[in-house]
Amino acid sequence: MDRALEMIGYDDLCREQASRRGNGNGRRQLGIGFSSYIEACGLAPSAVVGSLGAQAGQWESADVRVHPTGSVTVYTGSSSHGQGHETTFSQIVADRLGVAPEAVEVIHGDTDLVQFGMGTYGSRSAAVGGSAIAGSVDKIIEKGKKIAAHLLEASAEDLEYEDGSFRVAGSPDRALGLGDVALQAYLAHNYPDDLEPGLSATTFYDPANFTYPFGTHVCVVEVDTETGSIELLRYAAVDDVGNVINPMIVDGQLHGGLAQGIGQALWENAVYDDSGQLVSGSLMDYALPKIHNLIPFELDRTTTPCPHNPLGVKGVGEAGAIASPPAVVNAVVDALAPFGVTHIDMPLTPEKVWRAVNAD
Amino acid sequence: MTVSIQLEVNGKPVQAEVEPRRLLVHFLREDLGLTGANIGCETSLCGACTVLVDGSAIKSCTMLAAQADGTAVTTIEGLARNGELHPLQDGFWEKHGLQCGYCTPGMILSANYLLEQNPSPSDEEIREGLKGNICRCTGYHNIVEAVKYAAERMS
Amino acid sequence: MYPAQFDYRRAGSVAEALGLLQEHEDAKLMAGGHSLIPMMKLRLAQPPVVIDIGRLDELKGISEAGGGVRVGSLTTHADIAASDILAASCPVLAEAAGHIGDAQVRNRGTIGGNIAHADPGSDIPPVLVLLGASVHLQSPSGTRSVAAADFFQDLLMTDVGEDEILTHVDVPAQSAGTGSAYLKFEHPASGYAVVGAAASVTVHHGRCTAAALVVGGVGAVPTAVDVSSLIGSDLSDDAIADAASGLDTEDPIGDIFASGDYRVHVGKVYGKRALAAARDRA
Repeated sequence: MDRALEMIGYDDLCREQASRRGNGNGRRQLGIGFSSYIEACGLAPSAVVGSLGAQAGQWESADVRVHPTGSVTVYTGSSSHGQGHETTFSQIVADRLGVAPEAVEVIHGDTDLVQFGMGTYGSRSAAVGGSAIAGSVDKIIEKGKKIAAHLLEASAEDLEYEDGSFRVAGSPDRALGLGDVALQAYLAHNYPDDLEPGLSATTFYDPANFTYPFGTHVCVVEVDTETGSIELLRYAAVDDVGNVINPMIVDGQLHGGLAQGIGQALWENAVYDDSGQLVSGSLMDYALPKIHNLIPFELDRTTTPCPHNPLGVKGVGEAGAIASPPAVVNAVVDALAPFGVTHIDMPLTPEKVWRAVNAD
Repeated sequence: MTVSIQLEVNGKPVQAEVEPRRLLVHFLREDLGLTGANIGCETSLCGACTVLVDGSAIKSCTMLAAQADGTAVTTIEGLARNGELHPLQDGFWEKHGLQCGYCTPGMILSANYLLEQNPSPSDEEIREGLKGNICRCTGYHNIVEAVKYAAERMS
Repeated sequence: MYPAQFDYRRAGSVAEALGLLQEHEDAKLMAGGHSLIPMMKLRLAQPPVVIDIGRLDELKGISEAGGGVRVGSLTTHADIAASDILAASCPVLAEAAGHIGDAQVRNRGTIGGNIAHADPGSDIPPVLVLLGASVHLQSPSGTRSVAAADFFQDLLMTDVGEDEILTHVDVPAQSAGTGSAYLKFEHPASGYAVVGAAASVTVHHGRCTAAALVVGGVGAVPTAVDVSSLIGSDLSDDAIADAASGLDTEDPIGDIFASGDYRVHVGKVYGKRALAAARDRA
C-alpha cells in the first residue's frame, strides 16, 4: 500500500478532492478507492478440495522429454488459451535445464497427445502446472547424472549440473553436455545396468498448499453528479505474485484482469426479465470494456517467493480481476461521500449512480 | 439465385458465384480459406471481422460478398510482405499486444487504417480509432503500445 | 448468422432503382447496409428482394447548393465527418457524424440509410431537425421534399413512401454569429446515443437572436425543446438551464440500461450543456 500511495500521489489527490468538495459540491467529484487483497490461488491440494466436495483431484501433470538431439518437448495438462504457457513453460525448462528457450516445444490442449490434466484456471498454471514441469526436469537431471557418471566413470553424487552440462565437482574438464547424455540415453550402448534407456520424466504435482498472492490497488475516478456517469482517471496496482517468470506476460495478465474487473464494476450486466428471458443477450446490450473507456494501467510489484513450490511462483491470472471491482466501487462511493452515499450495487451504471446521489 | 463477383483479395484476382445472402466474412473464410477474419459478435460491434475494402476498414460481417464485387480486399493474410511481418504485426508481437489472438487480425487492420489516416496518433487518438474493436484479454494497454511501436517504425 | 434468402438486384441509376422498386413488391433498398443487414441477420427483416443502390454515384457527395449544403444520401458518415464544406457551413452535422459507431461503421454507413432507418438512438436525426434540413425524395411520379421535423414519424418510421428513394438532404448554412454543438451520452454497449443533444444559438452584440435545441434518444423521434425564452437574453448559465429544463416527452423510451425518466433527466442536462457549448462557439 505504501508503494501504491506513492505511485498515485495520494496527498495531492486528497487536496484536489477537498477543493472540489469545498466548492459547494460541484458536479465533478473526485473519488479515490482502495482494495487490498490476499487471494488463495494455485488450485489446489487435492485432499483439501476433496474434503470440500470436489469430484476431482487438483494436481497437474507434466511429461518432459529430452530428445536424442538435446531438444525438449513438454506435454502439459495445463492448456493455454492466451496466457502464454508456450513462453512461460519454455522458460521454466530453459532456466532449469540450461537450454535455449527455442529448443523447448510445449504441447497442450490436444487429448490425442497429452496425458490427463486439470487445466488452466484459478491462477494455477505456473504454480501447479509449472511446478509439475520443474519436477520432471529435476527427475531428468537426476537420471542424466547417473548416465553421465557412468560415462565419466565418476560417482553420480559427485556430479553437478550447470548451464546444460554435467560436470564432476572439482574437475571442470570432466564434463558432458545434455545433448551428449541424451544421445547416449537413447543409444544405451554404454549404459548403467540398473537404468532404463531414454530421457523423459512424468510428474503429477499435487501442491502442498494454496498460494497467496497479495497486493493493493488504487483507482481514481471522476463522477459527474448531474448524470451519474463515471470517468476513470488513474489506476495503480502493486501486486506480489511471487517470483516472476516472464514480466511482460505477468503484466499482460494483470492488464486483462483489470479490464475484466473494471468491466464488472462499471458495465457488465446479465439482465433477465420476469419470465427468465436474457435481455442482455448480445453486445448491443451487454457492455464489455472498450478501448476508449479504459486507461493506461500503472503497475509495480514486490516479490515474495512462494515457500512451498519449487518455482516460488503464486499465479497472477486473477489478481487484476479480483482486486479491481472493490477499488472501482470504493472510488465511486468515495467521490459521493458528500452526498451520503455508502453503497451502490454493481454494475455502477450512470442511472444507479444518479439515483444514489439523489436518494433522500 | 447467385451473383457473379470479381474482386481482388490480397492482390490476387478472385472470381466467384455467391448466394446473395453470403456475407463477405463467410466468403473470405469458407470460400477462400482466409480464416484470419474472425466472426465474433454478429452485431457489427466487436470488430473481429474487420478487413480493408479499397483501403477502408470495414466489418465484413455486415457486408454482402455481392457488395464487394469490383473492390480490392485486404485481410490479415495479405499484410506481411515477402515473409517480413508488417510493422503492426511486429508491434503486436514485440509489445505483447495479444493474448488469445481472436481480436488481433481485426485490431491490426483497424490500426492499419488508423495509421493511414493519422501516421502519428496520440494515445487518445489510438483509443478513439480502435473503439470498434473489442479485446477481452489484454485490457488494451499493450495494444496501444503496439500501435505506437508500429507508428514509429512506419514513419 | 445468415439472412434469409433473397434476390439481389444492383441498380445502375436512380431511374433503374425506382423501376426495380415498382417491379418487386416488398423489396428493400440497401445503401451501405449497416441498418438493413443487421436486421436481416436477426431475421427481423426478410425482404424477398434487396435492391443495392450503393454504387449510384449520383447520390454521393457533399456540395454547396443554394446558400446551403447538399449531402447526397449515399454519402458515408466518414465523408460527412471529414467534410471541409460542412466544417465551414454546418459543423454540427460533421460533429454528429463523427460520433456514429466507430471508424468501420462510419466507412460503410450512409446518411440516407441512417435516417431512412430512423433509429431513436441515431446521432443524425436530431441534428437535421435542429438545422431545419429538408429531405428530398424521388418517385416515378416526381420529386418532393420534406422538412426533417416532419420526416421522422415514429419509432423506425419515416415519411419515405414505398415507391420512393431518398436522394439527398439539403442543410441551410449556419448564419453569422451562430454556434452549434452536438453532445452525446453514449450507450456503453451499442454505441448508440442514450441521449444526443443538438443545439445552436445565434448571438448579435451580446444578445441571443435565435436558439434551438433538439434532443434524440428520449422519444421515438427527435424532440424539439422550446428555448425561445433565450431570445433576447445574454445566454447566462441560468437562462440556458431554465430553457433546457423544458424538455418534455409524453412517452419517453427506456431500456435495461436507462429508464425513460432518466433519459429525460439526462436530456435536460445534455441540452443545457449543448446550449452552453454552442454559446461558447458563437
